[in-house]
Amino acid sequence: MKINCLPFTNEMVSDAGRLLAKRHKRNREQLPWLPARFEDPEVAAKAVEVLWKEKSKSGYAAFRDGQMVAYLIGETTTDPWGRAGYVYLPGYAAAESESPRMIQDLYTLLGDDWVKRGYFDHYLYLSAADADVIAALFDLGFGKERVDALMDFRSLTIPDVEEPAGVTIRRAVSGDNAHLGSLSNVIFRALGKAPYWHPTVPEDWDDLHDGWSELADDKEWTVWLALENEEALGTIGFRPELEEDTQMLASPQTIYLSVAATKPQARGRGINTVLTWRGLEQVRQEGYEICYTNWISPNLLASRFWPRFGFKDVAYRLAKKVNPMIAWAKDE
Amino acid sequence: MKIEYLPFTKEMIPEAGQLLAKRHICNRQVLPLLPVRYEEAEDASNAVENLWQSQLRNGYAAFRNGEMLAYLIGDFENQSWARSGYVYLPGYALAGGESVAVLQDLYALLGEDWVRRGIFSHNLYISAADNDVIQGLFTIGFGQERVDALLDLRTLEIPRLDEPEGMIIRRAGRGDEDYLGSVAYVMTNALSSAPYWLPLTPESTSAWKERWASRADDEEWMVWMALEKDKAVGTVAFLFQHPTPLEQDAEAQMLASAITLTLGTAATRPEVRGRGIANILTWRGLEQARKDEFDVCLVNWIGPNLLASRYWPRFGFQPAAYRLSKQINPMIAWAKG
Repeated sequence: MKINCLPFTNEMVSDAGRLLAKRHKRNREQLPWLPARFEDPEVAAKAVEVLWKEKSKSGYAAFRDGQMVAYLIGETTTDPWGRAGYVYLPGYAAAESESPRMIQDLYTLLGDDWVKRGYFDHYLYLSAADADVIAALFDLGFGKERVDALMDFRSLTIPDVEEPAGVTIRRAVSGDNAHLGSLSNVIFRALGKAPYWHPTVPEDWDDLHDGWSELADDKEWTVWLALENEEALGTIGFRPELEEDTQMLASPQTIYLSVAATKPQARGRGINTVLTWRGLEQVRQEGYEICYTNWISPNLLASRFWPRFGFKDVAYRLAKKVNPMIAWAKDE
Repeated sequence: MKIEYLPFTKEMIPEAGQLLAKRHICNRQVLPLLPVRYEEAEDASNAVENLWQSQLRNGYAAFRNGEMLAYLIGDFENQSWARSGYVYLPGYALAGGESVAVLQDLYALLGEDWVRRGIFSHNLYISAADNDVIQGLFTIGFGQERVDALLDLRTLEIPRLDEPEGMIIRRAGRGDEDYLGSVAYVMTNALSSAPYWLPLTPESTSAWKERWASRADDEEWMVWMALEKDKAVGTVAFLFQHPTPLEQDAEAQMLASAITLTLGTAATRPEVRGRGIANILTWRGLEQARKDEFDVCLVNWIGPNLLASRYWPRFGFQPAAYRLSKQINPMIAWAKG
């Protein structure tokens, strides 16, 4: 039976929610750390509805015999590094019996809308459990850019680790602003290097410095510091990850791990290993059950470091960069 | 033991050749249609040497205890759509048992050289048998762009097909230039459409048309075409011989041998699709190729060209290599902190 692909509309939200709930149920069979609530079609439909309320959204759905069998919803934004289209985790689903080609066809339509409007960076967040969809997008030229991962504290064994000689490991407090600010360039410099080469524009450097400095006073964050001779060498931070409508990775009692950085000259001494274990131990004592983090997979330092702690991949951001010359160089 | 990464030098060619020969032996266990000759270290070394003779090449090798574990050699070309770096099939190898992380590290070095020279489009040809390498490159942002595939003509069952009603199917020859040139736009349109969006400059599309037309009277090509009411509606073109000696054809040399012909191009006008035109053209061409004693047919298609990538596997073509690609944001030239 022929497939009919149509622009997504408000009236399609409920059907899309049902497809998403079924997808999530299948995803959880492989990834039981994912939150259960999105198996409820109403919760899933709410996630789709929130996406569809975005001003810059667009999307398509595929129908067979009048029944929705897949959908893809994206939104566009202008990032400092380019005009970009994003499909977030609740933004796609296909019926179990359907070929992943359906998602390829829907992306062809959605991506062409983006390209016609000058959005040449295309990003899709996909469940790590959807291996066939990931493979189908790889076939279209998508590469992996970000890994989202979860760790279950309930089965975690935290080792006793000694502080490296001469290094003090402690919680950051108000007054540590300069220490934290001094570490703000570590990550964006790592992202700018091979083999990711992600640009960070100079006007953002000061904002990043200010943002990191302010973590010292932010009650929502628990930040750890490694200091040697009064110089900050490394840091790691945690904040609660809330169960928001579209956050398909957060369960109750989930903590988010971020701002993990060690200055290049201090690497290889186990500083971030100690910071991480101390931080994880503390948040587990506070009653958190799941830790969520993400890293850029072409950031080789990060992608070879975090899996050692037991983080399991649960989602990926795949990326495809379209050559902007296509705006004028086509045979019509 | 720590791994040492060094710029590739001429003196490393024999060792790289040995690694490449071993890789090819492993690849052929999965893909027996690949040419056997690169299992010989000498032939493999010659392939590496050919790459290293390019004026624009660069490369790195990884060593442990003085022994080469892996190497990666690239080349670059100014394409009309971007300054592009390429690693061809003889351009990489990884010793058995070594982690693909070593190749990721070599790419980080090679790619950095490219980026510093303004080469932001990175393209690596990888054997389809090297699943770990493909996965390792996907992890650092590479997607699939091109599929190179092989078909064993010796065991192929060729169906008897009738010509679609009102259609003439025949070999092209001298005087058919305009017919062949008239369908070239089908391919350029397909490549510049979603979800590939390959930019093709106006001057390159004209060249494309001329190239297709010239095949009518070229003995190296066997071109089949479909005519309806004196209008060419489809064509499939096979290349008997490679335009340069095979040993110098960086893209094809590790896939093809003397008994291989290449299915070079195929196109059917959009308004006549669904009538089996490319089907009959392809089968007629494959049948003729077998009569001409070719054993293997090589084809490539662009993965994001959905019409092509869903079509060619139906004939039994098996992927033998992929071109993986990664596009770097040129802003990195000035926005890196």
